[in-house]
Amino acid sequence: MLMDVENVLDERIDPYELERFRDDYERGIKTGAPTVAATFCYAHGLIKSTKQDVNEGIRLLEDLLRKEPDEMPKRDYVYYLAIANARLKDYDRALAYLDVLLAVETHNRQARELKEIIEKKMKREGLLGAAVIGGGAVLVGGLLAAVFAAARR
Amino acid sequence: MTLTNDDDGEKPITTLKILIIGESGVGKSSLMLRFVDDTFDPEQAATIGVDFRVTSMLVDGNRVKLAIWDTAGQERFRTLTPSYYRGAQGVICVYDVTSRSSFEKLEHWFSEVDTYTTKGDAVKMVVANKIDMAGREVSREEGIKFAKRHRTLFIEASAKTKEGVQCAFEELIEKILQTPGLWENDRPAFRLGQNTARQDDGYCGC
Repeated sequence: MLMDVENVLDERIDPYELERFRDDYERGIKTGAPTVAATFCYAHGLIKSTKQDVNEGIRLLEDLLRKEPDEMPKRDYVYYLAIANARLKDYDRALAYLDVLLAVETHNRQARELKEIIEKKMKREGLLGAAVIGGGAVLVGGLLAAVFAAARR
Repeated sequence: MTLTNDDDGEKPITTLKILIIGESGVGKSSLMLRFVDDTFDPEQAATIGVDFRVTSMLVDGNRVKLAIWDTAGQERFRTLTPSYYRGAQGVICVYDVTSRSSFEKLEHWFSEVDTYTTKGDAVKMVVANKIDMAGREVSREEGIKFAKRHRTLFIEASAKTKEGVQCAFEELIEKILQTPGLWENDRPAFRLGQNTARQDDGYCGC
């Protein structure tokens, strides 16, 4: 597929590649705990796969986010959580994640562009309305309450 | 030879994948955004994973579509990079002339390119960015020497002042189109300039 900024939500992972990431991750599980890098790679691949895989990817990313002590990786997890939720058409949640990211990094072009893409999709699918927006903020609020506390400039 | 970014509605003769790599903070995204959108953000946020842009340019009257992949330079994305390299016909490797360490890491980036590019003869280019800034730590001569040793194109540029940016992409695309077998022609009849082979191969003449 010809990747452009517009189809960042439609990207599909090569199944062989996902298999490779899964192997690394599962090898990690067998020997104790998988590394953060292996978990992230696997999660990053899962969110570009089937609906069931996307859900599993979200679970892993949320877990990484909860345990991450540093600010920089957190923004990556939040961004990919936004992509994953948007792929499941859980747009409120996706936008809530992006708003958290944009509150810390107002200049983040990728987050801004993704937000526009999601809003365009919502409009097309007739979902854009005040009643819908806002629900996601409550949903992710608990998870993100303290996430970026230290990063606010 | 005429090269422009204007869209004349003509069907492209081919689509080329261009990958931009290099250390974190050397200006990869800034180079891409200067080339594609002609914008510059001094507070550019660090790229998450990879960012994409599709654009096109005219090369001797032939429209060429470009899919540019701007990768994150940060260490924690390295395990993901092999998948980004797949199918790339051109690789732009960027360093910052005010950062000696970003130049010294080029060697590492080139070994990565050789390991992961699936098209063995992908055209490589070294771009020395931020030449507008004071406090240069890498001379032009050192850059050229490195590029010669690795048989790659070389250009000094500034995403901030635009200098060399358009030129860098033009040189790279021309070189790719001159490399037989590297790209597929999507259109049966096309014309390519007769005077495309330059004597001063590897140095920007515009």
